[in-house]
Amino acid sequence: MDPLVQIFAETLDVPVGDLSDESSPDTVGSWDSLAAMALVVAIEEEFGVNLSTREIMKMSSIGLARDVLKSKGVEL
Amino acid sequence: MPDTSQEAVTYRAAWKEFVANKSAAVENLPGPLRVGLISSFTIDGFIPHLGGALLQCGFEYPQITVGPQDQVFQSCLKPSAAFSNIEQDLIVLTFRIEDLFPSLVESVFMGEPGSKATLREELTGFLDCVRMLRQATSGTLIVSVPGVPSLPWFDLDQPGATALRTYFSDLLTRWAIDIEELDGVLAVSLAAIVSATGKVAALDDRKWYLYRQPYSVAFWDRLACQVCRQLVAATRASKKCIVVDCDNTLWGGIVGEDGLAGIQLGETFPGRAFLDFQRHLRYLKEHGIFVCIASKNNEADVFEVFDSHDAMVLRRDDVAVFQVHWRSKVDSILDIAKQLNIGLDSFVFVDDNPKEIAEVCERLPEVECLIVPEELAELPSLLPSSMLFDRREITAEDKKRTEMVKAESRRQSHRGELTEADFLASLELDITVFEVDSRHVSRATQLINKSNQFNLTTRRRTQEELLDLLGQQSVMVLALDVSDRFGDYGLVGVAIVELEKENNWILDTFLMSCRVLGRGVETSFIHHVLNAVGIRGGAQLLAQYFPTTKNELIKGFLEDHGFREVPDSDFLGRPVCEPPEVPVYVSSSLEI
Repeated sequence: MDPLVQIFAETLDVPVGDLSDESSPDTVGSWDSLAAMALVVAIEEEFGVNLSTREIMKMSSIGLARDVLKSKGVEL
Repeated sequence: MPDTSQEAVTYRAAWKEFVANKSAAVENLPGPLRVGLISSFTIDGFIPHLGGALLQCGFEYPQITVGPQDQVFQSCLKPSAAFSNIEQDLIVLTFRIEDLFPSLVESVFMGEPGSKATLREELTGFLDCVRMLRQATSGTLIVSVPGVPSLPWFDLDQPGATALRTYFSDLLTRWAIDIEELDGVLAVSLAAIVSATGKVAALDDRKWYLYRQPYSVAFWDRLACQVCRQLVAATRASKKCIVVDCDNTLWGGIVGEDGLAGIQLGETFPGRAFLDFQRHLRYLKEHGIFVCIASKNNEADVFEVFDSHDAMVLRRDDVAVFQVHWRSKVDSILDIAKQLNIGLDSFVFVDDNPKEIAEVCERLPEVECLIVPEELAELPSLLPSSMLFDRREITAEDKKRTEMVKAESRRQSHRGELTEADFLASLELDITVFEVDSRHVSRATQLINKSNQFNLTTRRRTQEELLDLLGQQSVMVLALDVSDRFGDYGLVGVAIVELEKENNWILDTFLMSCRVLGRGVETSFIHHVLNAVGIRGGAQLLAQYFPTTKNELIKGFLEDHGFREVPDSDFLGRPVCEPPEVPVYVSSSLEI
């Protein structure tokens, strides 16, 4: 199980199967700004990282979030 | 304040589990706790924290709704619109002045003339909004006391900003005082939560810029904890009695073995920890909590410490009941409950011996048991951080409770030698019936909500409802004050009469605390209630007895005092003239 997709699924309240690296606020209805805030908290806690606003704003799809985390040394 | 680092995860985990398991049916349950949030900043992130904290405090079905964003003023003036016409049980209003008056705060920072005075006026205007909110809703209302403005671009801590900082702290102190004085409004200090969390850990500039949410998760947790604490204190009965062990609880060591000089109690640790624990007990006693001792010891040894140890803070007089013997602590607690006539669910028991704790927990599950912590530095904060004695307001009667119990025992020992008539005559009973004003409202509300036995109608009212009645021309709220030569009973009775029509008045509420029953006080009370109605132009008083499982005691009271059936109605009635006589041994007066 991909832990990152798992976090997105739980926070956005959608089945894991509905999500892919292409998923973004445009394709997932529940991904609004409040969900985005909850995602930041969940990702920071799960992976023990601190995200900058630049990084947060870059994370506009699951794939892009994966890239940001990898660049911070998180193994995914 | 308990450490909340762990709670950060547990509150949210509890809420997540609740949300996952709740079915749609829960939404329609009759008894959910409806919580409405009004805030000047994004507060959605607070929901899981508050929800989890409420669940952990035993509120079973919290339903949290966030009012419309950026509409603090409108929501205060019309909360029904903010929460889709659903009455909320609790409304939490959180705001920061930098959000509510952004351009004014900026002007103050820039040093524009007149801006300070304008901001002060605006804040006073906002206080009126809070007043309106209080009037527009019947639930519990918690309002924040914000800290000095915290905007990332202005440092109020810089050396040159002292005067500005003082201006803001004065402004907010004023706000805190004003909120404190509003009836029926509870305060929660955001500034105190920021400083408890640490400014760096409490604020999150990234979230502020991205989502208009200034605070971190650590902050949300502490805020959730404080909101619950206020809600619990306002809505639940607090504990009334603390029973403590002596050896290794009130002092270090064992007095029976180490002797008076050998026990640890004084200014150096660990004696200081025991001393501070006693200070808290003394504080509880001064605020109406019964402090009792349950110790397996020789009574003489324990009394010697109380009477002769220089460092003792707690004195013999501070202790309502001593149970010092070799029988079980369970027996001791049961005896105390009987003597003080209070339920076991209002007891807290503290002991250093795990076996004693286990035995009491098992045999008296209603009693809250706390063990003396291994780390003695934590003993003085054991009771305050348990929050078990939190409560909304302490009335003058609460403070006098230990004194009153002692007066009662003097009364009883005096009675022994006398006949009933001589006893009553010797009491020198003195009663006053007077019209309730705002000073008596909290005590009157307390009585209205807790007296069961001598209560004619058992109508409960909140403080807000009672305040509302005080202003009405067609209603009189009367109270009874009783004292005798042994002491003061305080405010022990409430009657509410309402003009029905013409010169008919209705006895809406008539109740008395049981501790003054059976001495002719109840007759004196109705005598003056009838007189008061007469003074206001009434000719007849109508009344109705509503039986409950607990108010058998007042059954027949109306008939015994001349009330007779009124044809074609459910009421009994009597003329207000020639009221039942006040017994000769009671001196009484009516002050309206």
